[in-house]
Amino acid sequence: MKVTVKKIYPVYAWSWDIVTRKGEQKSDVYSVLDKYRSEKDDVCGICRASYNGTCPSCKIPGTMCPLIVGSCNHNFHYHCIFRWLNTLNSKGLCPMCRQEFKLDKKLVINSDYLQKFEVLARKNRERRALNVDEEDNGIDNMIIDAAGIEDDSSSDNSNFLGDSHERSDVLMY
Amino acid sequence: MHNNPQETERLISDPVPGITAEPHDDNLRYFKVSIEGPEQSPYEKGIFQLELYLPDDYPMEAPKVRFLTKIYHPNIDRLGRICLDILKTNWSPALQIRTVLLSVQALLASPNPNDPLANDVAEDWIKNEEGAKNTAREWTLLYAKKE
Repeated sequence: MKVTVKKIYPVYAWSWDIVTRKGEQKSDVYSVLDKYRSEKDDVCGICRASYNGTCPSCKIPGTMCPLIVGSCNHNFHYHCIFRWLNTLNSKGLCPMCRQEFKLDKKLVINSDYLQKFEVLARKNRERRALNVDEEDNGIDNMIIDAAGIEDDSSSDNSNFLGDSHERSDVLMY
Repeated sequence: MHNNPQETERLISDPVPGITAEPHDDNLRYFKVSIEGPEQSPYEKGIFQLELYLPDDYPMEAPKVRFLTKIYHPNIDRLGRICLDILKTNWSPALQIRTVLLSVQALLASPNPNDPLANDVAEDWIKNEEGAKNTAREWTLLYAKKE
């Protein structure tokens, strides 16, 4: 029998890899999917949109609107948790469990953001120590800039998963 | 900056017993709220009207909630302002409109005169709890009637 393929329709799906830890082999698709499916509350604890969706400020999911995982095992869109930790009210605490929010240092997905959160946590500790009453807008703006939140929705799709084969934090399958 | 439509939808499709919250037609950040007084409290059988406003920064900032119905309660002043930690210093963006309103309802069930907002009411509550509760019951009958 001879089969001729006339057309193919490739279908892709993706998910943040919240499984693979540093020094370990990249997790296989099924363990990531299992983990993903086992999380009943697989939405950001702040904006309640799906992990694989975007925070309310972004339009394109993926590397433009990353997910990060706390050491307390609570996951948030990077932009959501960063905005929260940058308020005085947050006192540097996780919105879900009210422990000091730290990134899970061993997860590969977090590795690009460790330093930024470290800086923010230090700032929060200092603010608490000084018992500052008024929010310093200068600092706020600076931190938001550093966080790279872009309101510019005109940016094209080229960043969207285009470079994902080079990135370690997105799992393609 | 938030999922107001989704949250609002869920409030309406999956309401909390004894609590209603409806967004205003002209302003989706403004909610008309009613809370039933908890059973076995002086507010039992009362329906209390409140207003809730989501600030621009919600959920990074707590919603603003205020009683419109007059109420005799040590943590609620005559302007209807509420003294509740989660609305101020203990706000978390993981809280939602529904959890906030449940906390307000719980505050009706357990007044805390040691952290007062209405000083005269709190004093009354501490000196003469039964008398204060009777006043609260009278006010509930007078102002928080079911329509």
